[in-house]
Amino acid sequence: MTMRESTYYVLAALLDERRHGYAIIKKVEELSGGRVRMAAGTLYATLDRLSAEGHVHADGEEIVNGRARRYYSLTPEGSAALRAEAERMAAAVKVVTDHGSGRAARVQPSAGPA
Amino acid sequence: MTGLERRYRRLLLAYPKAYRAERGDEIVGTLLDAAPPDRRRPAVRQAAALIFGGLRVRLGTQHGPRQPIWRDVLHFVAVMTLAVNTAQWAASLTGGTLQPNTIAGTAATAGALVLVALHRYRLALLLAVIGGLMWEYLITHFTLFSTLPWLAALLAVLTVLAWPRPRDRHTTPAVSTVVAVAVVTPQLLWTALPVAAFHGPGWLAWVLFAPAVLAVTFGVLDPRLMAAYAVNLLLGVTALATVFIDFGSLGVVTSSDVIAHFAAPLAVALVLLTAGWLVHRRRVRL
Repeated sequence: MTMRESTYYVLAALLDERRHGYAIIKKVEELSGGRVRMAAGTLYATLDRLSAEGHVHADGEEIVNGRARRYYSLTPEGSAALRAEAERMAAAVKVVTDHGSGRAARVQPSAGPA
Repeated sequence: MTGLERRYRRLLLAYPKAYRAERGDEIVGTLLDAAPPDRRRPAVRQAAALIFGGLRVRLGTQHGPRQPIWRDVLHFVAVMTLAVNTAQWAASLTGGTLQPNTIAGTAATAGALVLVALHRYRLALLLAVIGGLMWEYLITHFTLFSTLPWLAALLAVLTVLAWPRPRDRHTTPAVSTVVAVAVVTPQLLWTALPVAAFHGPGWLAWVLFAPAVLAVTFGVLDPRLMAAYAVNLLLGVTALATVFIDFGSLGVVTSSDVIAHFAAPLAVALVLLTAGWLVHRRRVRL
């Protein structure tokens, strides 16, 4: 099963520590270089899906400035799914980069001075 | 409570009450954290995500993964075909043949429709068979054109029965069932009203495209309806083909008839199937 880009970044945002909703949104934006900006409705739909699949779990609640916060953590299954997706993408990248360097290696001898 | 929070809470009404009780405060907290200090009204993007997210939770279609949809599609095909068959019976009731047999046939077919909506497929199948056979014996006497609609309904119910039950709980909510009937309403009217009511420009487009637009619009939330309506269209085209084969042999079928009655519905069905598949594919990704 391939993963949506937003799902990938949500899981990645939880790699180093547990985070609450707004912190996940900010981290996703940071990790994606500002490309993925999640609306709250989309984030919670993603978290519901990931919770149902056992990839994340709720990990504590608190009230800060009168606002409710629930923290989420990555489960071992979520971590494995994230790494599997990263490896899949790395393999896809390698197809192109290897092709490029192979071509460069083949081209280089004839490109040099005679 | 600020005006912005009140507006966000109003948008949260798109979610079911139980979901709001569990997550409402948390979602509002995140929305308020994410809002710039000068924001007074929810951003359009946030509002749209809340409304669509809430409606998907209400419809039970928020969890795409590992839910094959073909069984559900056939459930909605059965709803649509039985609704059309019920309308046919209703038309025969209003046509002056108000007899106990006709009333019984109408009740059997309408009962099958209700039972399918309630997922009581075995009993629905029995009633659909009774309704179908009565239709043939009492009204149309086994012409291919009249037999196809109830055969299609039987086939859909039978296939749902034979299809292995999915591991996950599937939801085919009442709203989707109502929309499934609404989508075939022009077809019901076409079946139930006198042919003269449909004379005039554009009626075919109205019958064909209005429900397609409804199916696509609602299909963003529940792609099963797009696919079901496409299958229903294909069944309709097949039924119509049996008539055209007869007329064709009489030499009264023109190429514009073929385009209007076959090419256009087939194209719409293809678009709906593709759109339904694409929406579903997007949803099944994690």
